Amino acid sequence: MRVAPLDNVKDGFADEHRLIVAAQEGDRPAFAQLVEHYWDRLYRWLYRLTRDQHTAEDLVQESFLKAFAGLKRFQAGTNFRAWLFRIAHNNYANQCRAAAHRRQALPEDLTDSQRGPLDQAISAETLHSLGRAIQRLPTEFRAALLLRVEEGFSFRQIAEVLDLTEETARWRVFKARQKLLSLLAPRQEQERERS
Amino acid sequence: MNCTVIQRRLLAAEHPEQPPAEIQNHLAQCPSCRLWQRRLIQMERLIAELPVPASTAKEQFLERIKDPAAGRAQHALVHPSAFLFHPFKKERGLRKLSVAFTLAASLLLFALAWWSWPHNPIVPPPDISTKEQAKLEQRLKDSLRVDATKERVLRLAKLADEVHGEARELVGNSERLEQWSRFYSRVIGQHLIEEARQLTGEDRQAVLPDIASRLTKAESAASRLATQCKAAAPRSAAAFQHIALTSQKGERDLRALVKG
Repeated sequence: MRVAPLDNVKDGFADEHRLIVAAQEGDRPAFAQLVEHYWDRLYRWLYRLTRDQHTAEDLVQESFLKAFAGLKRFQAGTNFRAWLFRIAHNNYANQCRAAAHRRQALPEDLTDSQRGPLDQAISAETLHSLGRAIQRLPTEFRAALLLRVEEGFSFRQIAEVLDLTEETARWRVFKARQKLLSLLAPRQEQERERS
Repeated sequence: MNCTVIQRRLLAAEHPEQPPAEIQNHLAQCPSCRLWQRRLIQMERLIAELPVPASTAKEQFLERIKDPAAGRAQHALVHPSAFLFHPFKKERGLRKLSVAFTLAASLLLFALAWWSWPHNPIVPPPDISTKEQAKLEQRLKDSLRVDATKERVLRLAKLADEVHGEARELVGNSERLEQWSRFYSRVIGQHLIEEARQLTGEDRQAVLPDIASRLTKAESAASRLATQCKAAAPRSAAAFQHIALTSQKGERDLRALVKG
């Protein structure tokens, strides 16, 4: 069974469901489309957790392979994205247990290029500070905040991915936001005075 | 609602850019909270914009998924596990057979050992909360394991301080916090006050005022934490409120005993 690419279908959710069902029946191209669709978001999240491109890529691949192997157990119609992120988080947790976490500085080139049009007044310095401040957050706070901010997960979904109660997920996002704002407040004040 | 409460509620909101009506009303009148909200929203938008280095493994992986034959050739390029184990089918069959044989032999040995060993009923391992509870109970027993009443009161007061301090570290872990809060209530309500009643008038004057002051501080700290985490962690807030009420009641009872 072959299925149309995601972009060709108006109803993204319905199409995802169709792709999942097809992949569960062994349609590899259908699963490849799911990989295509979720790779970058999963990679981005894992990169922010691991701070290492190759480790993040390995974890993404491993997560997709595990998802493919366990796809028959996934209940079509439930949240595939949360399920996938949960697999990725479990892989990440296993990796952390297996080896001491390598702490690396934020690569310099990340904050100097690819700036979008957003908030022209914000300097590269602020962006760099934000990147560093995120890396300084405890991993569990960082994981929860990024799921909320970058993936738009609800607190309930974050809880599902990270295997927490909803209240704890909310608490972690709360603390991460609070910590980041306190780290960035002096710099934002300077920016405001300059502009 | 004051500005601190508003800002905390925004921090705990799923969508700080779309707060509920009562917060919007405050924001409409408060420039400082509006600025604060704008910073929060701006920060989150910037996080989503932060660049990451491009992933280079995606295309190879997709090829591997779409075409397993091509994927096998490229597997080594994509995943380091490819170097670990790729035996021929025959070798793999032999290996499977040897593993199965070893497993069967181990099972047989285990069954024999099980059959010959005197049997005890299988007790399921206690869950974490049961283990924690057992540790708490042990600490209570240790505190009570002295002959002199005055010493027991002092030890119970110390235990109450410790439990209160530990509870403060459990914000966001509502189940454990509730467990600690119940235990705190028992230490004070069932033991400390009862033991304090047994003290002589002189001993009451000597030790209870200090313990009552500590309970006042505990009540104030727990109330403050309850307020702080009300929006983000309502169950934790309720547990802190319970601790605050227990401390308050304990303090009153102790002061009443001092007065005689």
